[in-house]
Amino acid sequence: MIWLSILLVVGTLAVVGAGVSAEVPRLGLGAGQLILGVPWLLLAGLWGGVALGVASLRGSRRLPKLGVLLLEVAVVGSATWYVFVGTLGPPHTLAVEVGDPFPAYALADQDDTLHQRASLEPRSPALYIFYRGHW
Amino acid sequence: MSIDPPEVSRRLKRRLESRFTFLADPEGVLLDGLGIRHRGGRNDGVDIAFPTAVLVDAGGVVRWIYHSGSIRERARAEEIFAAISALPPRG
Repeated sequence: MIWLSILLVVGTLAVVGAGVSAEVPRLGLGAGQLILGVPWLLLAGLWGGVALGVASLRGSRRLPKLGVLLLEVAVVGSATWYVFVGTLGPPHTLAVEVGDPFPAYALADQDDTLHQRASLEPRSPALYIFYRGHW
Repeated sequence: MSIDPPEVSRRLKRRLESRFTFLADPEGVLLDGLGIRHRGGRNDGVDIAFPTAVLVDAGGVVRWIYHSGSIRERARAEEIFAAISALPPRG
């Protein structure tokens, strides 16, 4: 059962790694850190592997199995911490709410063309997506 | 929108073959205007934006905001499309 445990933990990590590797050449390393919501399936796979590891302790050769299990707990615990705690930003408060005017600006685009908020008003609605940059 | 200078965004736009406009806000004017400045958020200590999406109507009024407490989460495409669909029709 310990082998099944290892297979589940390593296999889940491999699936994640393959997904990240597929996106990195196109989107950069930052894409690998992107999480769209909580990856419950990933976490279920990892902790399911740990649970199998715990179950395997009922059999023989407990000491090596315990070593493997501790390693799994460290890896899976780190991944879980990253998802729930490591990705939290510091507390802050938005300066605008729905219904407020969008702040004025005059900023250059990728071609050094100047854009101003005032220029939006007679035009279509606009969607602003703020990225962390450093691509 | 990011703090990246135009030349960095130009390379990214080309790489992604994107049709979007990439605005450069190196001083963080809008980060302060919206309250989304993440002080020292980049690995090298530079201030960057908390991941945020803002939908503004034709009159310049904010109609939808996506903002997460997590620095790794982004607005899902379906959330964005739903917000756009909820905009009142243009008269």
